[in-house]
This record gives sequence, C-alpha cells and structure tokens, in this order.
Amino acid sequence: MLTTPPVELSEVLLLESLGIHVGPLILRLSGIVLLLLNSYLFSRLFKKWPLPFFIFLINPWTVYLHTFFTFQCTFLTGILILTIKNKKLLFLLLTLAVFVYLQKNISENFLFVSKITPANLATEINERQKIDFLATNKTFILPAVVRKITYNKPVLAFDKILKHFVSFFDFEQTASPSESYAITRLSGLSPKGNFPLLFIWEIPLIIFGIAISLKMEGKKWLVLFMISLLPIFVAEKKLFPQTAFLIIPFLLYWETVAIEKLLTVKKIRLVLVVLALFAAFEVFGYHRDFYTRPMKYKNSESYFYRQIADWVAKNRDKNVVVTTLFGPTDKMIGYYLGEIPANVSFQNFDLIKEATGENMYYIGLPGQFVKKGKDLEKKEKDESRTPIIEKINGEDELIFEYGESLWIGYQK
Amino acid sequence: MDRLSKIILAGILILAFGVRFFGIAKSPPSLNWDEAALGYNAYSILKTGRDEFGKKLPLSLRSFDDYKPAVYSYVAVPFIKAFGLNEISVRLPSVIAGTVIVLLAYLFAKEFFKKEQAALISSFLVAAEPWSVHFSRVAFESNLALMFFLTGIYLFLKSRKYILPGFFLILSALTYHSEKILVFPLAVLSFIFDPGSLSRFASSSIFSHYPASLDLIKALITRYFSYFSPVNLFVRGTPEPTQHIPNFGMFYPLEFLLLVVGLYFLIQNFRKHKILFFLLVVSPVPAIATWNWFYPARVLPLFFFLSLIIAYGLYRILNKYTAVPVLVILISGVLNLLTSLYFFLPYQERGNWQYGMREMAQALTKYQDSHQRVVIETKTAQPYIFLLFYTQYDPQKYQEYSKDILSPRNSFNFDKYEFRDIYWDKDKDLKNTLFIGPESSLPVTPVYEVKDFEGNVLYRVAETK
Repeated sequence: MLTTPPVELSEVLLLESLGIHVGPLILRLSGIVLLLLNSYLFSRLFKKWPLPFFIFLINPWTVYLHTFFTFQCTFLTGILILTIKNKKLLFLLLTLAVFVYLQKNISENFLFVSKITPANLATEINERQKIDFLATNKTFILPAVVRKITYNKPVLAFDKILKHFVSFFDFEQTASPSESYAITRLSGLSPKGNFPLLFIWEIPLIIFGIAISLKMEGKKWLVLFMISLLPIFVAEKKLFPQTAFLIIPFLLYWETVAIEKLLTVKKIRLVLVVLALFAAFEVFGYHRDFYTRPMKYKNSESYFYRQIADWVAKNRDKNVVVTTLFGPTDKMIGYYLGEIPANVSFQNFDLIKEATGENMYYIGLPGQFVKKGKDLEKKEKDESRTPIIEKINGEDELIFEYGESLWIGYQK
Repeated sequence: MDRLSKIILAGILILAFGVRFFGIAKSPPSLNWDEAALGYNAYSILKTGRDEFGKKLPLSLRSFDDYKPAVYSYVAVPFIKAFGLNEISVRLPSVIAGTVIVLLAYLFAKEFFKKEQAALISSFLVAAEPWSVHFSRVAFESNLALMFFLTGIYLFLKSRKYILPGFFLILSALTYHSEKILVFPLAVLSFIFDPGSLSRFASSSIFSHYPASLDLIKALITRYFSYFSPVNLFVRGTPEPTQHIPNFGMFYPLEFLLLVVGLYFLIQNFRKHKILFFLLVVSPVPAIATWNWFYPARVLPLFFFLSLIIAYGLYRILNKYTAVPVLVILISGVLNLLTSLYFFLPYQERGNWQYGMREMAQALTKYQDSHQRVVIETKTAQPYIFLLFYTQYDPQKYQEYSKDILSPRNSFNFDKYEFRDIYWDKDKDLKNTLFIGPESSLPVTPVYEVKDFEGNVLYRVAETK
C-alpha cells in the first residue's frame, strides 16, 4: 500500500542528478520517518504534544509532501528546528536557500518571477494596447500620457507579483480543488494532480487561530509566516504545494492554537465531538484514497511508468519496445527496476507508418497503433496491424487524440 | 460634516454616476436575455398593466419560467416612458441604484467607524471598485435589491424602528431572491403571496444535488468559504461570463492588503464592530444554498461590507509616506479598469453578451413586412425576447399568443416568427418566407448581411418569393 502512490518524476530526476539510487520502498519509508520526525518537531512548539503531533501527521499537505517530495521535506525539518530555537536570521537564510533550490530544480516552463523581464512586460503592454485600438475599429487611441499611466512596466510588474501573492490565498485549491473544478472550472487548474492541501474545516480554525495569536502573542508568527512565503514567487501558482510548503508549520500552529482554545470552552464540547466525528470521516476518506486510489489524484503518466516497469519485470525474456511519447519512460523504468533491462528499447514509434520488427512487443498509446482520433479503444480490432494482447486502463488523454489507455501489442 | 467633505462627497457621487452611465449602451455590448426580459416586461406593464404572459400587476415575472422578481421592471417603467424601450432605459435604474449605494457606503462607514475620512474613502472605493461598477452598469435585480437592503439596514441602525426599515427590507426581498433568504421571514411571506416566486430556488437549490447529508454539509462549507477566498475576490473573479469585468476580480488586488489591515484593526475592537462582522458573516448565506460556486450577483451585500473594511484599512495606513504609492497604484488600477470596461469588454467579450441580436432585429424590421413567415436560426437562448424588445412588439398582441404557452415552454414561436434550425435544402421550397441565420445554414445569395463593427458576418438574411 505504501508504494501504491507512484513516484514523482522530479524526485527521480533529482536522485539521478545526485547520483544516488534509492528504491521506491526505501524512498517511501524515508518519507514516513521524516514525517514522524517533523510531526515530533512541530509538537515541540506546544506544551502538550499529542494534539499538534497528530494534526501535523494527518494533514493532507504534509502527507503529500513527504510522499512525493521527500528530499524537500528536509528543509521543513530545518525550518522547524530554527523556529523552535527562535533563530530568525538563520530562518531567513534557509528560506532564501529554498528559494534558490526551487529556482534551480523547477522546470523553466513553470518559473514565475524570473519571467518578469522588461521585454516580456513590454510585449504584454503592447498586446493590450493593440486590443484597445482594435476595439474602436482602429479609430481611436488613448492619449500617450494616459497610456503611460495606465500601462507601464513597473506597475504591471507590481500588479503581477501582487496578484501572484494573493493567488496563494485560494481556498478552492487549498481545500476542494477537484470539486470546484468539476463544477465551474474555477480553480483554473488541470482536473488531475491537484491535492487538497487542507481539510475544509481547517480553514476557519486557522483564521480563528490567527486572531487569537495576534491578540495573545503579537505579530511574531505572522512575520515568520510572511518570510516563509518568499519561495512562492519562484514558480507558477499551480506549483504552490511545492513552493509554499514552508508555511505549513505556521498554518498548523494557528490551527492547533484554535483547537486548544476551543477545548477550554466547556459549553461547546458536544459540538466539538460532533465536529470531530465529521473530521474523522474526512481524514479517513482522504487517506484511503491517497494510498489506494492514486488514479483519483495523479495523472495517468506516473501510473503508466509503474505499470510498464511491472510488465517488463515479468517479461524479461521478451523483446520490448516502450514508447517515449508521453514522458521519459526510460528514466522511470530504469528507476523502478534499478537498471534498464537489455531486452527493452525506447522509441517514439508509429506502427501505422513504420514496419514492425518480428517477435516484438510494443508498449504505447493507442494512437501509436491505430490512426489517432476519438474513441480509439473501439478501433483496436479493425485498424491495428499489430495484435493487441493487453490493455492498461488510464483516465487521461496524455497526448491529444492518442487515447487514454496504454496498449501492449505483439508482432509475431 | 464640514463643507469640504460635502464637496468631496458630491464629487465622488458625480464620478460614480459618470463611470456608471458613460457608454452604457455600448458596454456591455448588448443586453443579455435577462435584461431584455426585464425591459420588455416593464414595457408590457407600461402599455397594458400586465406582464408578457398577461398577468396583471405581477409580483414575479414568469419570463423564461424562472419567475424573476418584478420590482426591477416596475422601477424601469418611468425610464421607459421617458426615454423609450432601449438599453439606456433598462440599465438606468441600476446606474442610479449603484450611485445611491456609493452614498450608502459613506453613511454606513460613518455609522460604523465614526470617522469622516474613513467614510469618504469608503464611498470613493465603492464608486471605483470593479464589482460595484460592473453591477451598476447592467440591469441586475441584485444591484437594486442591494440598495433597498442597505437602506433598510441603515435606517434600522439609525432609528431602531421597524416600519420604514421594514418597508425597504421587504422591497429588497421582492427585488431579488438572495435578499429573501437574508430577510428570511420575508421569504415565507412572499411565498404566501406569490408561490411561483420561489420556484427558481427549487431549480437552483443545492439540496437536490447532494442527497447524502455529509456531502451536503461539505458542499455548503466549501461554497461558503469560496465567497471569502481572496483569489476569487481580488484576482480571479468568477467564471460567470456576465458577472465580471475582464481581467479583474471583484476588487483590486491591492485591496487584499488593505482588507488584512482593516480586519487586523477591527478585530482589536471586535465588540464595537460586531454588527459589521455579523453582516459580513451572514451575507454569503443565500448564495451557498444554491448549486453555483462563486456567484457574485448573490452576494453583493458581502462585497459592500468587505469594501467598508478595506476602506477602514486604507484609512488606518494612510499617511504622508503611504499616500503617494497607494494612490498611484489605485489610480493606475482604476484607469486600467476603465479601459477594460470601455474597450476590452465590448470587443473581446462580446460573445458572452448576446451581441448581434439588436443588429439582427434591425435587419428583420427592414425586410419582414413583405413576408408571411419569418424563420430565425440563432444559437442564442430565449431568442424571442430580443425580437420583442428590439422591434418593440405590441405587448397586447403578444399576450394573445403567450396566454396559451405551456410551462415549461417547448417553443418560442409567435405570430409569423419561427425559431428553429434552417435546413435550406428543404426550406427553400417554402413560399414567401424570410430567413435569418448563420452563413453555414443559408448557402444562398443573401438579400442582406448583418455584420459586426469589424465587418464579420453575424447573420444572413435570405428570402423566398
């Protein structure tokens, strides 16, 4: 069950760049040990340990991070230690180190702040002014002074950064990304790969905790919280779970403060018991899905890597060609099996146009076996020259019109 | 209130009215079907004392079987009488309501914060904020209801009496469904007087979508928090295409920081401001009972009270060091909003507003007289209402047709007008018929082409002899 959630590609690439090989099971166990350690460190912020320990342990965001970004979680350990020891300068330095780490390790396509360049801003401004001009059927353009005030690079840059900062406070992405997406496409995120970072009932508790903390302890926690937000400017909003992880201890700190405060009010204990039951259902449901139904929240590609590796491991005597169309299958299979077996080769094949080899097994997307389009699953018998011997069902069309599943074909 | 404050407030009100009224017939670029329905029903009431279905002095309008509250139409009657049936007359009640709301912001802030400067800032922000500007430029019942609701609440806070405030609160509940729930006992009353008025709730209610109680609780909570989600309020806005100004949330992004500051200072004095917090917390309640996620029209009171807190935050940080940068960013934001409003929205978003229906109706008026039958194909829902509105079809005559229309209606046809897809191979054999439809449906030399301002063909007009 521990290894059911597929390993994240970025984690494998990181291991490779460090020249370390840690198998999936060891990686997962390391994550769990780190989660327990961090939960313990977090509980040290309070007089009584059990409540904060469990709050940290069961939180969706901490579970997600320790499962898929194990190495990154060591930064969380550092932040917790520095918070306990109240070393503010070191705290700031570590936050900056995380900023640099993320800047180097996140794909360039997803970077945010480094893309705010004068040239990019100028392009955007020109585009916008062009629309204004076209809107009047090219009959009117605002006076230069007005355009200079309305559209200028410093204000646009500030606006972008501010919007990015505010975008972080997104209760949909935080607590109900899938549902909000299903109803309104509101989240602006892809339907898959979005984890709830908090349970919905944690949001009011955090807000309440902030109010209590401000009143009782002043702005100390708020300042640390703001510093720990710095890394969110590295990458686009959809990578918030990875870039904003340093704030977890503060959010959960406020939540714990709120719960501790509520527990002292005797009149509402019955209400709290009911709410705790509701919460227990939520927690159970989340962890059940997380560890048993990875397809519910992960894209098919990470699931396919694992399935291909399993199939190859069982068929070491066969000549296999594995597609590279939807991702670096060679790296992921190499990771899962410890090495790339000699009987496996990787290529972006197209069995409609290319001649197939004899006694070969092909693993790829349906669109590589039959002409790409819609409803490819039904075309297998009529169109595929290579007989399909097995199918691995997926839920997402990874490449447009290439089908959702993974086909394994055998050419005699 | 000193003389300077009076001048500033007057200036803000003039600015508010100007921003709301300027170019109102062109942006948004067309009436949407709800606006057309409110306008035509007002016209019908003006001419016959009955709505389009012949119901005498109705409390709610059957319209598209969504039973709209009728108050907006009644309020629009004098404007239609004065200026005729057009976009300006239909939207003018909302413009005026929006301007009054700016005044109410001043009064509420004065009542809550007891500071003249904070009150003036409040009115300025409400005058310029995206949510307020947008909802005041479209015939939204919710904007008119907000004005009545706030007036009722304000009068109650000032007088602690019930009759006059009660009158305005009842009026607000009769103007928009959300206020019915906010002023809950009035929902019961309105149901007794007019059972149809709650049928809309039955169709949009969240309760029919979540049979399991645990899922329902979660759905209610998640929706409730969506209305406080900063990204929705300050950056992203809503997915509802007609409820936002493009590129803007409900507020300017900078206002998020001001909200935090305002909340920080108000929480310090929680007891003193408990009424404001109470109003803030209950405002989204009507919206969470419906299926939609972040639906601004249903939570305008929330935006109003948030504006007050934002204004208080600005008031608290405004000093000689902060004034210039804050003002520069705000002014730049406002200018950006205005360009979005006057240029971007009518150009880029015209597809979301039923752009082309007015132009189509004009073409129809020109060519229809010599034909016995008119066949219209359009992708716009409820197309008949645009025809009624833009041709100013005689309401008495229409009521003759509408009295037999079943609910739910399965056809929009009336008089010689047919609303359906055109199959030219078959339809070309119909005699003495005028066809209006997209190019793809009329592969024939047209007698006229309806074009947009860029010269793109919207509809073709063709005829058979």
